[in-house]
Amino acid sequence: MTTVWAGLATGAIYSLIAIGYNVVLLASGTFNFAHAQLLMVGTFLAYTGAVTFGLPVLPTVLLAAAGVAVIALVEERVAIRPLLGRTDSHGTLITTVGAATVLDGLAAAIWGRQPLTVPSVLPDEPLTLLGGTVRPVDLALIGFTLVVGVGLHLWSRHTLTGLASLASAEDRDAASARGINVRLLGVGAFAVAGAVAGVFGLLVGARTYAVFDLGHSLALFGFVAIAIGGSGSQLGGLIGGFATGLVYAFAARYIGAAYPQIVVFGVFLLILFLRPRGLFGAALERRV
Amino acid sequence: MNALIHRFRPLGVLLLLVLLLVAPTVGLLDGYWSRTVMLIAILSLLVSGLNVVLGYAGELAMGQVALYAVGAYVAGYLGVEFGLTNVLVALVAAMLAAVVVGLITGIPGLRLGGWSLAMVTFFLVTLVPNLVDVFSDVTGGTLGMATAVPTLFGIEIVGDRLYWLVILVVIAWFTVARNLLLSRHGNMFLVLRQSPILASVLGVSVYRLKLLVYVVGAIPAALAGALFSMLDGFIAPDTFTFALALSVLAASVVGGATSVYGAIAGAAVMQLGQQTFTQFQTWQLVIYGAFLLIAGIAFNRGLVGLAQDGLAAARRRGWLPNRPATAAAPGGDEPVKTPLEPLDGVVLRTEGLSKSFGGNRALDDVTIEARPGEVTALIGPNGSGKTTLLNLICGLYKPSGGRLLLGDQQIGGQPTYRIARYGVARTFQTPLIPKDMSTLAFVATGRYMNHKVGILPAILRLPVFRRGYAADDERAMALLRLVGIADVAGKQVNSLALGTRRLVEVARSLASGARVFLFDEVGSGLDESDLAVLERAIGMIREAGGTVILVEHNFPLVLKLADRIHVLSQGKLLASGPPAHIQADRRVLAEYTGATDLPEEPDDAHAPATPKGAN
Amino acid sequence: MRSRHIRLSAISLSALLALTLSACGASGSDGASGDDADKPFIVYFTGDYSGAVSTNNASLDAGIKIAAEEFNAAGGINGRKIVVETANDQNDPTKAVSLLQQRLSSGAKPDLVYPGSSSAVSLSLLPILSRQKILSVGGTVSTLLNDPAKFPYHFGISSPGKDYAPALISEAKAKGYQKIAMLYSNDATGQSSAEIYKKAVEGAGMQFVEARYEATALDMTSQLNQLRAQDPDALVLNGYGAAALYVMRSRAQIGWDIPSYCDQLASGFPYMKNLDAGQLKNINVVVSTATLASTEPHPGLAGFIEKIKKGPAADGISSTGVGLYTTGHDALALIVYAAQQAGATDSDKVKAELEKLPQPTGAPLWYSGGPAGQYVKFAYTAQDHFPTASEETFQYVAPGVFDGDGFYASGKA
Repeated sequence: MTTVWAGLATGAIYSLIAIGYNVVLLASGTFNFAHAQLLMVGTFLAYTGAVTFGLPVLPTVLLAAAGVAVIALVEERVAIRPLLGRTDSHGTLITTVGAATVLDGLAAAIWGRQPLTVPSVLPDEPLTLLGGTVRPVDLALIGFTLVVGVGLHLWSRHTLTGLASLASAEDRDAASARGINVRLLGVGAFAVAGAVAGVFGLLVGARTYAVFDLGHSLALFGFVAIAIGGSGSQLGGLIGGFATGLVYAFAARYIGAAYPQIVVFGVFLLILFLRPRGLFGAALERRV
Repeated sequence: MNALIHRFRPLGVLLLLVLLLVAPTVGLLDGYWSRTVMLIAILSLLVSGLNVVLGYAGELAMGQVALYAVGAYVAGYLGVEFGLTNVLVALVAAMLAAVVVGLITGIPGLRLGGWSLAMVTFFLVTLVPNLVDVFSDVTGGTLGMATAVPTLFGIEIVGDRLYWLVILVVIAWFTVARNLLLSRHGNMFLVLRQSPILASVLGVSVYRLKLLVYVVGAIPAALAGALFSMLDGFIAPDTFTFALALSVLAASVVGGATSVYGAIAGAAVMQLGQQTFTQFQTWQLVIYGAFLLIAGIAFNRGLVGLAQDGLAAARRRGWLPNRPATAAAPGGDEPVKTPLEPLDGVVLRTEGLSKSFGGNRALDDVTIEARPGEVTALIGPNGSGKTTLLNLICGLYKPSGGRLLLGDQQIGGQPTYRIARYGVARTFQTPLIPKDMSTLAFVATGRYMNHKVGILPAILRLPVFRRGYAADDERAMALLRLVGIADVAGKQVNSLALGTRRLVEVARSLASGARVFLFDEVGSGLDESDLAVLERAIGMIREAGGTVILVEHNFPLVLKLADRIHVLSQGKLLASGPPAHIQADRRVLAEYTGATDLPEEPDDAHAPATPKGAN
Repeated sequence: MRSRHIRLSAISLSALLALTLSACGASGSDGASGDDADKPFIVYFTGDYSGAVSTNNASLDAGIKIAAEEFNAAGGINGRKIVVETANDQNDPTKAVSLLQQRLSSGAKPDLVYPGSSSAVSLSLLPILSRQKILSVGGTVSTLLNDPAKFPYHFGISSPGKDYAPALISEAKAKGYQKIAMLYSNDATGQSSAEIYKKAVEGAGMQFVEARYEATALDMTSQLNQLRAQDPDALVLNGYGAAALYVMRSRAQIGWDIPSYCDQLASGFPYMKNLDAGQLKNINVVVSTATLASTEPHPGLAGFIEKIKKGPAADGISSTGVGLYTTGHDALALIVYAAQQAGATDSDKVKAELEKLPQPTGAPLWYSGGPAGQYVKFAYTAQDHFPTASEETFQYVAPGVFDGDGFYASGKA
């Protein structure tokens, strides 16, 4: 059961990345490679708030959320907006990677290259729960990730803005013609994705520490989560992330270090053949 | 002066290449620069492979790096384990391995379409270190593998000789890529990128063509890997990272994905950029990131696009001589009066054809017949099922019930490309028009399946290729004259106005020598003179014995052209008969005057996947 | 007024002339002298100045630069001025080769190369350096580098991993361990470390079990549980940076306070900064006796440390410790000593001298040898180009921090 908890806690982080990818993908059709870096900056801002300024939990979370949201907006302005409307270009694939690299470099320059300990807001003593040990802060991470993931899923399916975002992902021009402010949606998506990444900075940082190159490995696992869950589905990304974390934990426990990736690939191929659009379908699939 | 440039261009290119080859020997390039040139050359192979797949066929495949690793390890293993250090053996083995890995990964990745190829190939890259580790007996594991010194017939290939090898391989690959991409095949890749539906309507199996493109794109990556293992003499999994995959992607975008030589420009920019930025030390990451940002925005059409814009601007201002006309129209521009060659028309019959989307019955038990040498028109208000019927006939939809007969053959439910090969051609409500292609070349794609020139002749530029190409151009030109738009033959086809696009589509459908023609609202958006040309063209098809099915809102045009009219309403056949009969039918009149008919609204609003638009 | 003006300009003119002449003289003697006694002795230092290990690199870089200053003040290396050049290879073998090629094709060849901060980089550079007969001294420790037949001009300055294993074995024997488990990173460093410990543990008649984790892993509870299920008596840990922290956190999370011993790499990480006493229960790190705060230091170190603190890499001393600085310093000190003994600076003579180096009496030029040269010894032979250690070179202590002078103070927060 400890393996399950470990898998879920790690998976929660992967889910968060996948959710961040999806929020932006759904609203503006761009793949934001820099999202994992936004989470990385979130952990550093949480460190700054909690340790450097010695703030209590709530102000720290707010500071990180606001800070990362602002950075995400700057990224949208610099890396996405200049390319809007140029349909036949893969430019955003490059500019978002560029933004990610800039964030890596800035974090290293500002906070240094050594890992920093982000204090866990809850007691560090592991709990024994359902026959396994888990740290309270990891439980909180799992719980809040579930809440946010399911919340965003319901929001995207049941509110006007959410549906508008789905429509805009389906066909920007058509959505625009129907009076949806596509540009505002895109900007909003970046702000939301950034704020979510910032809010989780404290919880994620307590697990991963604040390290400037955290984004690299997280980005990869975020893709894996998306691949398994299906791009463009919040629920898919959420479950894809947890599934990835669990598969890794169990494969590492019972098979060996070189194999988790291969097992995950096997799972992915299986899903691909059983459910070609990912576990939960994909809004971006279309025929033409 | 202009002619002079063109006559001596091949010679100039040759001179440049020779200069590049001898540069290190005569001291123009020192050790550092010759290594840099080799690294650029190797990266350009990777980028070129991606360009073929991404820029031409429109599939985002991230797996170049994995194939790069395959090439490197195959070449390294042969040398270390079997002493097979001959560079030719290594290169051929790397290519074969690329084809095998390309097929294994391409089949699941492409069969399912959408993002699955991107995802499968992404996984492939992330799996490289794990596979290297699992097979550490063969690969040397994470500690890496020192490769043997490459040879050719007993001569060690090191130093300048290795430089020559790298440059020659790159020249060879780019020759192949150029000859392949600047041919009907390359044009078909562009059609595929724009619209797989259009490709299948032209008789191409989308899946097979994509697989072909993907496997072709795998080859240069593996060659690059083999060359890299010879250059560094040491391979370890650290080289084959996702970061490299992103660099390749960046180089592709910077150079221009839809171009042959853009790969070299992009590779040079990325390689030199990365080498330069190392000196910034602390700020290196920030500066490299900023470079990617700026490159992504500034070169979003690629360096090649930028260069084209520059050249075009220079020509406009008269700084540079104009290009010689690409398609010198033989015999002038006046419309040709000569009728079409006889067409082998065939009866097309639907028997109780039905189509449901979920619970929605878009087409219900429709039986019609279209005969050769006649124009059969389908009319009806929006949502009445006209386009659904066309989509069923050409195989874009599978029938829910009933039969579809071409002559005596049941064709219902067969894939689109096969139906197209039986001789069913169609046009689209919103014309499907590819980018980066001349009108003449686009019309000639209609002949791709029925007048096929193989890939090998194209790559080798054999006489059979030249003859086929000339015949294609001649026929396409004649058809453009037939529809009265010979003047746009040399223009980019996606720069044309809507009305002209419709005529281009008619010419394209004629080019295939089809037996059945499906025209979907071909008259809307045409001005008077275009309409006259269209009428004449359809008349000629009828006279030549073709079977024409016309979906049209323009009632007068239908009355003028049709031999027989079928009226659809809410998926059912409302009335059938000759124009005079239909014109007098009260129900039809009621249906038309009562309907909220907006000609610009898409038909079949409830059908989820109406083929339309250029996306 | 006017005459003074003229005189002034005359003086400045003659000064200028003198300068030019002396410059000419210098370059003239360059061309003439065969023994290049007046040419600078160029040290080419390639390392990661912007990536993940750039903090460590800065310490090495400072060490070698301070050493150059010190020796230049004392007359250089056999009279030649030492000049240190640096290159940022970002720890990437391909880039490192490109940069070295670039350097080799421009101007005078370097006389000494410090070939990067990872074994992969060293391995990719050594074939070129051997071909060019350039002397290299490196702190990288892969056993593949100790191959005088292939790389005759390369010498190791740091103790290879195998020199650290005896410290564990003596500890294990004292405590009576029967079965030792090891958790290591699935990369080149981790694998070679595991190989060394496996050999040492099994050689001492104990059982060895192992588990690996991927470099990208965020959590190692699964691997630790796997090892725990096999019920070992002690645990050897490998890893650095965030990964090492994840290992410690996972170990604490599953409540496994088994006696644990960090390998050479894992011992270098400052745990006290990030972890509390509970998480570090029963953890031991291996340190070089020469850098322990509780042992007698090399007499030259105090002055060296003063210079570090005045230099640009002063911040590093309390995070990386003085050890990395001395590695940089010793690389140069070793060559200076060998050149002195040989009475020459050309690579063949220095190489020959290194292979039969007379061991100095008293404090050696290099700091890692300790006050009497008793710790690390550079007793190279024609077959072995790596240093040798004695029983007392390394020892296991509780994790601590580096004090202000970069000495390791065990068990103090």
